[in-house]
Amino acid sequence: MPLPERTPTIVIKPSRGWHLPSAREIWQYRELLYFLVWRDIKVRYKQTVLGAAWAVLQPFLTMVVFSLFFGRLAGIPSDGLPYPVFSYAGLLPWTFFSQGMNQAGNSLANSAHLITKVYFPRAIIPLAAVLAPLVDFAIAFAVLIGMMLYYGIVPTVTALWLPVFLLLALMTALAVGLWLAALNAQYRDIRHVVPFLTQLWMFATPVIYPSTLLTGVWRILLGLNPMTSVVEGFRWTLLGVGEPPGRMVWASVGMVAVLLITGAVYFRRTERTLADVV
Amino acid sequence: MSDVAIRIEGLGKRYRLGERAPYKTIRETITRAAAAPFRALRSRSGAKIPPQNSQYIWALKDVSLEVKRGEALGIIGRNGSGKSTLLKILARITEPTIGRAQIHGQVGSLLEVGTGFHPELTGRENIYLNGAILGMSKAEIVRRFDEIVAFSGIGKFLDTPVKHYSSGMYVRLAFAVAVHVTPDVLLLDEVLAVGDHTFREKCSRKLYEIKANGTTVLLVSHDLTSIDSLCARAVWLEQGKVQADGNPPEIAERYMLHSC
Repeated sequence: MPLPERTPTIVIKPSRGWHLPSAREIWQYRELLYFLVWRDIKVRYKQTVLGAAWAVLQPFLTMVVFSLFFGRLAGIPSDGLPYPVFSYAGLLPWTFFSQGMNQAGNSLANSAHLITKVYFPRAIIPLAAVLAPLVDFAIAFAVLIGMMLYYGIVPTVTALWLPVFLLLALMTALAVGLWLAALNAQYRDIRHVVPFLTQLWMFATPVIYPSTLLTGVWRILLGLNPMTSVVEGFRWTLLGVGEPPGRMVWASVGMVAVLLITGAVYFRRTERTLADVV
Repeated sequence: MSDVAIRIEGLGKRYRLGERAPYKTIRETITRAAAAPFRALRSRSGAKIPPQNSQYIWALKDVSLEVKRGEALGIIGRNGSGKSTLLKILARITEPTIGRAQIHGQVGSLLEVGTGFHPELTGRENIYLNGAILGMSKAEIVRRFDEIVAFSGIGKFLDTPVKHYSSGMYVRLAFAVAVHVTPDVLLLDEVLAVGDHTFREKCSRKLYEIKANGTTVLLVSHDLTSIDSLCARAVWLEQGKVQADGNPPEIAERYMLHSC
């Protein structure tokens, strides 16, 4: 069809069964997606005094505290790297992921005023929520480059792999975010679960410790957590430690695919009664 | 191309009534899921399943209507008569429980003034955001930007965050964006009663202009005069059903007699 928007016919009827959200419809609403991301970014930096500095302060101060307690006092190994740059390279994708997951998880409940007043594919809301933290990520990434310069770490050509791992982090945040958002709209208990989940998940991810600390079954279990591949991937591409992406990454990709598809289907299912429950 | 813009056939919407909050708790879902096999067993053994203690209400029942292209239809009815529910179903905000509806053309819904306005953003920023939410493309907003600003009359406050606006200014800006969205079918929910007298008149004129340009309009209102001035046809809803369908003065009279 050359001009699908000319005189569309909309059919309204009760929907049945389980479906994926329509990718074509989301594409039609891409400008709204853009404006929602733009709004989130604008508002985030508008009301705060320090503005963009928060994007740096949060992972940076966490890195300082971790370096003192885990690096210095507990003496956790760091793959032969200085502990500060080791932990920051992990905190960087972790912060991006947890921001996206948290905001996506609360996004539907926070957008009740839109959902009850105007139609658009609802998946746009969590999608915008996981995209907006990219700005924070970019700012915090500049600090990592500074730290690498300070410690004299020169990335090699493997750094070109970075977008792949960033995408994996984004997809993980979206997959879990879709599940949480849909659940949160129906069960307000989820609001209390998310911070707890974030905390536990971080300790299950090799942010403050190297995955080499674990062996055997534990390592396989760790690989089922997609964020393990992301964090390890970041260290591999930028700092040159660890193994190149292998079976663990494929396990993570498979895991994300399953979470994403089931999450999208469940989300679509919730979408139809959303305006009545939210 | 058919000359029917909206065709509604046997549309109904059922809501659950109850003292408890409309959203469920996880505990409730788990208990229900655990009890499901027992319920199934009992029903197979012939025993009747007791009706659930939550009650249902049909907010809309068996509504069938046809609206012609370019027609303006007014819908009146008391609170809870189902008129807003009908509009929400046509706007695709909520799904019907039964029946179907077909709408030919781009649908724009205006169920509230200022949907998605963000207090921290400036008037300029909110024009873009609100325009996009109401279904305008970015190019369209850019093209009509000056027109919107002129209509709103907010002038030098364009770059002030809307949280500092007076409520009159806020509403004027919101309405200015809304009336510049030009869908084929426009769904309006009692939004005419905004701003001061002069602005209200301006809005009525604008709506008239929109209608004259061939837009199909569905207007829900308590205000019988606004329906009468804009619409050539009115429908009276009562307890979710179409009570009467005809020319506005006649419907208005019957409605008034009924309500007194």
